[in-house]
Parts: sequence; C-alpha cells; structure tokens
Amino acid sequence: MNFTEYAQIAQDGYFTPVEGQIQILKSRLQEHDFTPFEADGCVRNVGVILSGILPPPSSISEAIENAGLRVVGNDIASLFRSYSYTPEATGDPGEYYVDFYQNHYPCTTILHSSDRRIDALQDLIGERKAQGFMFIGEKFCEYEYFEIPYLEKLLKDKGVNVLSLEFSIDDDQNIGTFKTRIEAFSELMEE
Amino acid sequence: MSADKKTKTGHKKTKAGERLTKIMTDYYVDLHKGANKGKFVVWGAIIIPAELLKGFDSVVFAVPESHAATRAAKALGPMQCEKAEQMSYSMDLCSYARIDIGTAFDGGKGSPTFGLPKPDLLISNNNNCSLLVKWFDVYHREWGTPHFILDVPFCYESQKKKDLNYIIDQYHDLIRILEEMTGEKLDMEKVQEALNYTNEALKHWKRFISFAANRPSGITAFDSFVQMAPILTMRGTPELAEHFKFLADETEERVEAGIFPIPNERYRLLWDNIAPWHQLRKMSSRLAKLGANIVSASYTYCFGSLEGNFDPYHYEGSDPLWALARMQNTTICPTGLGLRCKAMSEAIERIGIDGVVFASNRSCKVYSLMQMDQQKYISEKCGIPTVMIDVDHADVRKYSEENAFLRIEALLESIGARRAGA
Amino acid sequence: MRALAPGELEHSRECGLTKVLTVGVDSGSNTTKVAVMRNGTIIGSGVTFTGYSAEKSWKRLLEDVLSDLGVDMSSVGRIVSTGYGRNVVGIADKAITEITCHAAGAHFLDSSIRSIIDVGGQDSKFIALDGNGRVENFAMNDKCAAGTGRFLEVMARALEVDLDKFGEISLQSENPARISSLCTVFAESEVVSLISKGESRENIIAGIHEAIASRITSMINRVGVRCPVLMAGGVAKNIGVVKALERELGADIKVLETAQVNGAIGAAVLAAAIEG
Repeated sequence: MNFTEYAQIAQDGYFTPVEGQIQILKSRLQEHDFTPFEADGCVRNVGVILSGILPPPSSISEAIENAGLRVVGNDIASLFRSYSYTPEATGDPGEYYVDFYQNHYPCTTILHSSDRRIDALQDLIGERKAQGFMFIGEKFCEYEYFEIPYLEKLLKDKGVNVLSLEFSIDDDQNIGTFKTRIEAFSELMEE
Repeated sequence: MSADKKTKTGHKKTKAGERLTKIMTDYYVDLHKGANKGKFVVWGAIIIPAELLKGFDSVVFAVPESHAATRAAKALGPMQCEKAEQMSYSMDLCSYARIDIGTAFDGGKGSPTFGLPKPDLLISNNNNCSLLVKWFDVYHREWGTPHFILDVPFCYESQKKKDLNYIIDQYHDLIRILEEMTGEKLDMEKVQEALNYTNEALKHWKRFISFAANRPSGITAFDSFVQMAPILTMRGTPELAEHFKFLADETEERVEAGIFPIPNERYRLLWDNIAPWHQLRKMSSRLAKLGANIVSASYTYCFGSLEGNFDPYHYEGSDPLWALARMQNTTICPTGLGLRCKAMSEAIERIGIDGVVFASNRSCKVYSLMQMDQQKYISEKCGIPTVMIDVDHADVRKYSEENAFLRIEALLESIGARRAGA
Repeated sequence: MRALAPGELEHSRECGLTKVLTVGVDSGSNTTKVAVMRNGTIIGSGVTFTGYSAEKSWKRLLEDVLSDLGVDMSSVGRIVSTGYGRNVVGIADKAITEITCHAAGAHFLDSSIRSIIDVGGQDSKFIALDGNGRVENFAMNDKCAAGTGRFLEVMARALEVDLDKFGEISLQSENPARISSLCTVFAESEVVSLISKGESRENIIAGIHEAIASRITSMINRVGVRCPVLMAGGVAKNIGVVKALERELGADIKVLETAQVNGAIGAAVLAAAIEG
C-alpha cells in the first residue's frame, strides 16, 4: 500500500462513526495483499518523512511518490502523532483521556510537549533512515511555522534535506508549482 | 509644546499624549537600566499577572507584544518582519511575532527603544493567543531561556470555580520558580499594593473610554489605542494610575469645554480587532474628512474586563491571587462567541454606535476566527450596518487602503440610507 | 549560434553516429525555449510564446531551430524536457525540473556560478549550487508575494507602457515610488492610486522594480546568497529589476546573453549526460 492510499483510508475515518471505521479497516485488510509498494518507474528508494497537521492533498501525495520518494514515516498530527500512543482501555473515559494526553506523542499543538518534540522527531528520522523531511503546512499563522526554521537548520546540519510546502485551501488546482518543488527536491537527493 | 499644537489628524495634541511619550520613554530607559544592573528580566504576554511580578524588587517586566506595536506604529513593521522572514519564519505568522523575532535576533537594531533586554524567564499563556506560546518557544530554544506556560481554560460562560483554583495553583508554581530563580522571597503586600494601583488605573481608564458615549464623542479609538501602551507594560505602578487619572481628567475638561476630536461627527463607529498600528493617522484623518469617528474598539477593553463584559473589572480588595486569577478571563480572546456578542451588543447600545467595522486580520487568528458569526449576530441583534475589512495589525505590506475604504465608505452610505429611510 | 558545418553531419553518419544532437526543451508558462547541443557545444536555440498549446509550440519551435541548423528530427538523439510543461513533451527521454536544469545550464556556461536567480512568468526561484554545480538548496516564491514576469506584465498594462521599455524607463527615476503591498492584486491597486495621484511613470516603474527586488531578496536570504550570482529567465532582460536586485542583495549579478534559454541549455546538457 502506498502512502496516498493509506492517508486516504485514515482520512475517510475522520468523518465516519467508529463502527464504520472498523468496517472499512476490516475490508481493506481482507482485500489487500500487502506486497511492498513500488512507485511508478521508481528505481530509487529515497526515504522521506512527511510532517504537518493533516496529510497533504492526495494529488500531492501522488506527486511525492511518483517523484521516486518513498514515505517511510509520518510525523503528521492527525496520523502518527495521534495513534502513536494508545492508552489501555480501563472502562473509565476520564482515566483514558488523562493517560492519552499525558503520554501523547510530542506534538507541536500540545504546547507543553514542545521540548520533547525535537528529540522524538530526530529519533523517528533516524529509526526510519529518512534522507528527507517534508513539511506540509497550511498557509496561515500556524504553530509549526514557529518551529520550522529551528528544525530546518538542525536537520540540515545532520544531513537531512528539508522541503516546506505551504498550501491554502483549494490549492489543488495549482499543483504545477508544487510538483516542481517536489521533483526538484527528489533530484537534489539523487546521487 | 503647547496644548494647542495641532497633529496631522487635525485635532489638537493633548497633554496626555505628550505625557504618554514621556512615561513610556522612562519605562524603556528604566527597563534597560534595570537589566544592566543585573535585575531579573521577565518577558511576558500582555495578560499574565504583571502585579505578581511587583512582589519581587529584583524583577523587571518587558512585553514583546506592546514593543512590537510601538514599532509598527512608527512604520518600522515591514523592516523587522522581513528580517524574520529571511530567517525562514513564514510571512503568514502574526506580524507582532515576526517584528519581535526580527528585532530580537538582530540585537534590537532598528528599534527606537533599542529592543528589549534579553530575558531570564519567559512567561506566556494560552488565553490571549496560544500561538504566542510557540513564539516564546522560539527564544526558549534559541537562547535556552526557561519558559513558563500558564494554562487558562477557555470559557463559554462565567469562569468556573475549579478553573479559577486551577489558575491559582499555577500561580503558586510560578511564585516558587521566581523565588528559586531570583533568590528573593515574594512580598505579597507589594502584590496587593500593585493590584490597588492597577485597580485605580482601570477606574480612570473606564472614565476615559466612557467619553465615547458623549455626542460628539470626546475621544477617538485611535487616541485610546495609543494610550494602551502603559496598561500593557506598567500595570501595578503608581505612574500608571497617575497617568490614567491625568488622561481622564484632561478628556473631561475638554469635553466640558466643547473640544471634540471630530466636531462634525456624523457616523459613530465601533472597531473590532487589534489596532491598525500603521494606519492610525491615515485612517483617522481620512475618516474625519468623511465625518466619521471610530469612537470605541473592543481591543481597548482587552485588559481588565471580564468575560462577556466590556467594562473594566473592579477589584474590591480580596485575596490578590484570587483577583489575578479572576482577571485571566478577559473579554476578548479566551471566550466563546456568546460572551463576545453579549459584551459587544451591550457596548453598542450604551455608546450609541451607528455601525461596526470588523477588521479581519489574518495575523490574529484568535481575534478574527469568530468574526463572521459575530458580524451576523450583531447585524441581526442590534439592527445596525456592519462591514468586514481586511487589515494586518502590524504589517502594512498586507493592507490595501483603497480596498478597506471602499467598504468603509459603503458602510457610511448604508448608515446614511437607513437614516434617510427612517 | 552557428549552423552545422557542411559535411559535418555526413561525417557523423559515416562514423555511425547518426543521432548526434541532444536537445533541451523548456516549456514555460509564458514562453517555450529550445536549445540544441552537439559534442559539448550549444549550436542553436530559440524562444517562442507558449500560447494556448504547449505541445504545438515546442514542436514548431524545435522544427524551426533544427531547420535553421539544416537538419531534422532524424539527427536528434536524447531529449530532456523541463519547465511547467515538461510532462507534455512526449518524446522526451526524461523530464527534469527547471531547478536542476538551470543549475546544469549555469554550470555549463560558467562553472564559477554559485547562485542562480530565475524569475519566470509564473514564479521566481533561487537556486544555490555547490562547488560542483549541483543543486544544494532552492527556494520558490510564496504565492502571496510573487515577484514574477506576470506581475510585470499586469503592471505594464496598467501603466500603458511597453514591457520591453520598463528597464530603460526606470533608470530615469530619481525618486522611486513606494509600493508596499506584497500581494500583487493589492500592489496593482496601489499603482492605480499612484497613477491617479499623478506620480511619474519612471518613479512608478522604478518602485515596481524595487518591490519585486525586495520580495525576491527575502526569498534569497532564506537560503543565503553565494557569489557569483547569475540571473536567468526572461525578466533578466529587464535592467531595472537587475539593478534593483543588486542594490537589495549587495552583490553583483551576472546576466548572460543566454539568460532566457538557460534552462533549455541545462536540459540539453543533461540530455547529453544520459547514458545508454
């Protein structure tokens, strides 16, 4: 399964009651053969981590994967950062949520976790052997934009390439400029 | 300078205006002097309990937001914003933040106050703007300065007792940290004294902004925007109380003497959002030519009023920590739509407002996000015309005067048409 | 650009090297550019407006350039396409972004170049090169602060001045007008308001150039400028923008004759490097 498909399934769940989500996941598990994904004409295997609040629009995910980049991990608030830690169900919703927030994976939007976030992110990049870090932002005054300059410098010093893409709502129709950036980013990592 | 000196806006420069320049200059000089003498420098968000810091002799208090506003009003916004943008801070970030980051990382260059002395402690909160916490985190990361984050629950109704106690608990943490870092014991009597000064100042501030209800209005919102600087930086000081007494007294005298900023006032407007710092003169004089006056603004109530009410809160001498926790729920940002609409509609009624200018400001998400719903509510509930314009409070590069005035003038025409039809 | 010498092609054919030419096609949003290379030398190039059909325009242009060289498609070997329309060039062996192509073009023409500013019709780019001419980092304009060729075109229309004269006119300005808006729609309204206030054309045009230079410099400084700097793309022909950029950046900017076809040249260079 590629990231585009994976992110789509996850996003379908955002607006589906939990029973519906279980059904979607079950049927996907049945029908899928889980052979490792190879992107179109992808001979290289440059690993990247995607970061941001929401996954990028699917046209962008496709452009990333078709540019010969493999999404080896995500640092997306609504995906990995949300499901990275799941508390034990104790039957007490209050207890569950205290646990959920106290032990939540460090997230830009969980203000007090900011000190732990940089380390966690570096661990993720190292563990997944990613060569690139791609940040997908919403063009607005957003939490991440305060962090990105620091992060960018830190990662570049460690040899990780960084690309920031900023979107406005309904930016899908203007995809050409994003494709250029993504493909150039891929070319830049080409040996 | 004589009291009769005319400003570019066409109305007479007040003595309180001259006095303001002096006390703000003194404040910044004292701040730098204090820091040079080794005092403990706190950078804080505007709503943090500044009076609490007065309980420590060794602490001086600097306010990045107010400092950024000062520079924006002096047309230095774009220059400092660009510095931050060149360091990869997005141009979509709050313009106060960009100005502040640009100035701070350039060692205060280009700032009339030589920037702010470097902080020993950062105190932010998530109740005037949660993005501000990330802004302060920039310094925390870059300089390793400790950062204390006050967590204030968002409210949709009156502050709950458990929320108040939760805030007080955090004050105890803050006191402990300050005591450890400064090596000084908190003097609660001084906190009490500081609160009394703030309370006295707020009493006069209320007198001052109430002259908006006079016809014609005794003030313009532009005057009150400028006079906000000390309430953000000098809370808990006798100088603040004295200054606001002077300001209210002078305004009272002028009203009694029949001196009004816009004598031919035909349209009385309310402004909703942060002040358009780079347009104070331009906008007020262009409005004046149209016989319009923005007499009041929700922003001028951003400190000292409680949720759902524009009127400044009156402290009656209870436990200082309790009072400071109570004042964390101010009328503007950390409150739900219902409370914001209630406060605004009451003020419209009381002051006699003909139309509301909602300034949508991409640089201030917390202020702007609810405005469309609020506009709808106010138009229906108060039955007055309203308009939405685009403004960035401190970055003139994102503002179009013609675009804004096209809509403001249409608002005035619509007020006129209603009168003609009435 | 020189044509093939008489007999040159025949000679190659005899040696079994019939496909001796490599081609770069830069299909841009506004103009299409073609460069033809042989044995490590650029021997022909051309520029045309892209117009409605990107496909028709690159085909016609390539035919014209080849015909000027006295050859046809049968002599063409590898083709690399670049630019916004890089994926519409169906016969290309490879599509490569204009970022990589500009770097290759600049390095080919002057191996000392470490930075490239490319101001095109639709966007502006800054490319930092390492010592070997490889892309080390790049930045592209923010959509709300576009300092692009299109912006200049819109302004030329508002001012009723031929765009080709913009550079020259702006040099006569003694007091450039201040245009503060980042957004091009807002900036246009500022220009209209300057016109109605009776501000002179040269001051307005100089102001427009300064506004563009300031946006581009902001973008450049996010990456960091390294000298020598080359400017590529159509806007490089505008001396007013180049001078304003030099002032803002505090660095000299090289502009080559080939500025507009730099990307196509790079594509031809990269085509020559394709193995097999």
